[in-house]
Amino acid sequence: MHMKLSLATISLLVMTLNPVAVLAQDETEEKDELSSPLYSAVELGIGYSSDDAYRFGRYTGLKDEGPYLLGDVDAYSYTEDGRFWSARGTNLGLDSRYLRLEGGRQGQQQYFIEYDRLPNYENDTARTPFLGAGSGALTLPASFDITTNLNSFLLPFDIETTRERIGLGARFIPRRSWKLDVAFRHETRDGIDRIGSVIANGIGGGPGDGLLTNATAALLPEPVDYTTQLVDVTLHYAKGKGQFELAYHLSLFDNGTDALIWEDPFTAPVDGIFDARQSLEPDNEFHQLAFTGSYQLPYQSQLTGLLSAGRMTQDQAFLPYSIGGGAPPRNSLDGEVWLTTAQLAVNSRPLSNLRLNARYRYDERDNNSPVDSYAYIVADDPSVAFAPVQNRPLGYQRDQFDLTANYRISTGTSLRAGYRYDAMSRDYQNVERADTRENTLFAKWTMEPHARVDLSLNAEASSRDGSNYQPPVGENPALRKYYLADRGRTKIGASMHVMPTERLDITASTDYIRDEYHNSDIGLTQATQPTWTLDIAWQPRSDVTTSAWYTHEDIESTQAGEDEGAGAIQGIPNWTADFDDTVDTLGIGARITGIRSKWDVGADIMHSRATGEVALVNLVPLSVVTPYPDLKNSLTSLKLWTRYRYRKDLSWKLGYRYERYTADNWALDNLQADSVANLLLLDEETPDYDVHVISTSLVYHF
Amino acid sequence: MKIQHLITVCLLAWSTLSYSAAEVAGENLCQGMADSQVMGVEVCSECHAEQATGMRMNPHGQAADARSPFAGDGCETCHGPGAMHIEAEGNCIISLHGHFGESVELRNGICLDCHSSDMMHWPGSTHEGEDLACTSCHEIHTPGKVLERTTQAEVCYQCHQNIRAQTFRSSAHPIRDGKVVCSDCHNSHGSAGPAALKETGINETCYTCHAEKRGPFLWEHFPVTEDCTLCHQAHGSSHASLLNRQPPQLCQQCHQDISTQGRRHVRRFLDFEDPDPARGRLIVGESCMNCHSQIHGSNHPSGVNLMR
Repeated sequence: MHMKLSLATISLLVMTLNPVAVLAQDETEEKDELSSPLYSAVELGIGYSSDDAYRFGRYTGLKDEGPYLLGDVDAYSYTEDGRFWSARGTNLGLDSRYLRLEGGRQGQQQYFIEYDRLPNYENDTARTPFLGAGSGALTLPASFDITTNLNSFLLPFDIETTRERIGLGARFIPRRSWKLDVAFRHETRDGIDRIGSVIANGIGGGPGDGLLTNATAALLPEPVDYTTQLVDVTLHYAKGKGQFELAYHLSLFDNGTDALIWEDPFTAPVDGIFDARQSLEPDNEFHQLAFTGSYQLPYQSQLTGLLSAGRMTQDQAFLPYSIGGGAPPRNSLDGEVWLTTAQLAVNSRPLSNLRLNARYRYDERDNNSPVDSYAYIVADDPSVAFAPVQNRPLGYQRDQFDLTANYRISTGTSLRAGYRYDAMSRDYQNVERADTRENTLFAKWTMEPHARVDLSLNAEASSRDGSNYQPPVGENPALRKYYLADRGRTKIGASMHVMPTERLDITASTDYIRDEYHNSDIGLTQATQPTWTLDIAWQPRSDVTTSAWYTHEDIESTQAGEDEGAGAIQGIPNWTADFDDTVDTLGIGARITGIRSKWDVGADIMHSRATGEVALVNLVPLSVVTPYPDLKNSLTSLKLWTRYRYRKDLSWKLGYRYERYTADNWALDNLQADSVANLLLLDEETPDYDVHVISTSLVYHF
Repeated sequence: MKIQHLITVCLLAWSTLSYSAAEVAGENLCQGMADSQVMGVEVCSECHAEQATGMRMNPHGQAADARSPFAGDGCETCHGPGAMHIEAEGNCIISLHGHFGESVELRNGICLDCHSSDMMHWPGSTHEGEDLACTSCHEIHTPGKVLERTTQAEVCYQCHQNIRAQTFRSSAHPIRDGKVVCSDCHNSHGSAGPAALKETGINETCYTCHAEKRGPFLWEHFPVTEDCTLCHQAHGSSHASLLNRQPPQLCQQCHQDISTQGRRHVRRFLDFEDPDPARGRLIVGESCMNCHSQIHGSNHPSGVNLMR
């Protein structure tokens, strides 16, 4: 039976889930398909999600049960005189929509405009007694009393932020050797996040205890009201053996809410007076100019250089020392930091089978922010004050040097080896360790013992040391901060790629990293990370493709600590913690195309499971105490889809998706807002979900 | 050793090391191929209709752009003259995928003849060192997966399988959802930054989306200012906020203050069910950040310990 599709019929088909109207396809169209394929497409359809699942829709917007619009466009066109236009849009019916329009004349000028929306729906189970969530001022109801009626005043709010970006740009090619790129991006990020807060309420505890035992803390809804603007202008010139690029980058950040002020939820009765205030991220500005150039030298060599200078500034007005006032020594930081990078690299191929690379790089952070002495009033309580403190603007200089040689011994067999040097000098006051230096040797051997087998082995060894470690006053003298501490690092890896047949491809690889902090009695002492992966791709027939992959990672570390209680000997650890994060990820996929020349079907299954274990050991006396619960999360996803080609320019798709996520997080699980003394939590639950999504759409090709 | 012997030894070593280009590289050995006749796109399309048609919807196929291959010899701009290929009924043509044994250097050299202006950092880059060919990632005749945001990561995962696994962890950038792609942060063709990052440094790359962390702050948290990855795992983590470790233990790796300051409270937290009310609030919720909320740096005059 032959039937022409009318618009009405197409609309009807879109709205149903029963696509089995049989349409014949003109034989001529089948032949035309190859000679004049259609590369552009517009897709329109509907979907349905079975459950409310906030976390499921975290980055897509599919968080609510019910129908949603499905829209996608991928279209472009060229004319004979080089003019073109393109339109790319995804998720047009969802909160995560993206659209980019581009056009121009290839080789002369082109323009684009882009819109992107990125939600982040993190948790919709949070509750707080505060009024004004999302603003910079949090108040409490007049009759609120945390000891007697907290639960009756808890109000729900969503921990979510959304980014919206608009981008504009252009490329101009006035002459063949020149190219000018200009891009502007305006982004807003709005919503509510969570933030901690503390009020001192006087020093408490016994002599030497130090803990502000009267302090009360509360997790608050934090207003997020960011605007970021980026500008990039790049001029490029290339002719003959030389080329250069001059790039200007501008970043302007504005925080619409400079501070968060709140009433103390632990003080009854509520008096309508704000008790505390903290600064939120200050506005900042960054300008950077970078020059990159390269020149071809004899013996297939190239010299490349980079010089960049950037200036970041921040001059947000200071708040007073406390909610009660108190003027700091200056009105604002008037902060200024210069970032300088200089790099020179030489790459050469003196022989056809030998490549040599040498690179030197210098980075400097020159912090010119003023240094002043600030009174230290703790957490808005003037009765809790310590000696004035000077701020310490961080600055550093970093030198990096590396040499690499790649030597091809024969076809398929090569050796790469090299050396890296990395030294950093930190120049802020009272730094624990002013200088660190790391030397690294690395090598990789690749061979092809058989036409269908590739093997590679790699190894790397590093050693870091530096100037004398000087623990600052107030820190345990035996503590070594892991990013400054002496460290020996070893990396080894192996990879095998086998193609037993033309249609079967197997890759197996393993990597192992081990860090030893051999001079750290307290702090991170050891870390290891073995990883295993297996990847299989099999195409039993030209119209059938299958794949499977598996990755296993173990992230382990050990740290030692000292709790200075009775019997503790300063500098001697009396507890250790062993961490083991294990992650297994598995994926299987299959696709069959051209069934009866009309149908394509596919399936993808993915499963990821992670477990985080913490084992703490009391060393004096030696014992294992009540362990922490394991952190767990598990994600399982199944996707099934089919596509039917009515004719050359029209196809129909049907999709089904199932996803299940479960998680255990001891930092949130089984904790109500008042579960912990002197801490007001947000009553959150660890998200989990079990969602089915079905969708159907028509795709028009042109 | 006499100078003559030394010269002989050097020459012997040189000849041993430097094989002929054809021997080492396994190049297509059709003699005279480079000098044979150019046949034209119409002739190529008689057998390769799909590829020829695809090129017309591709920047490479726009003859109006003087830079494009189709403004020159068409298909043969990249694949070499086709006369011998027709006579040989298959061979004697340059395959950009190396089907006839073409070396990576030869194949990449063809692409770099036109695209060198965007590849200043390619020589000496990690991918060049791994002998990656342009066509290992890029498709030319049809719209390529690597240039499309929804499919780019699949191409990278062919080699970076461990990164693929990390993107499925509970805390990750929205790479799996196609909202953040590898090329948003990395330049796979090489860059001046570490790990092929697009900006000059790790933190500068992070600040393009997280500019609120830039500062400078009055009170800085030094490892934050030095390197975001000291605490965060950018591709994905099993801990909240992409942290490498769960607080408080993450913080205890650097902070074990002592009683002389009267502020000692960084304790061992050994017993998860410790009844001491002072300790519970240091573990659950945001842990240390229940109080030290301005963990990335504070601009408050009283924010010495990042609590304001």
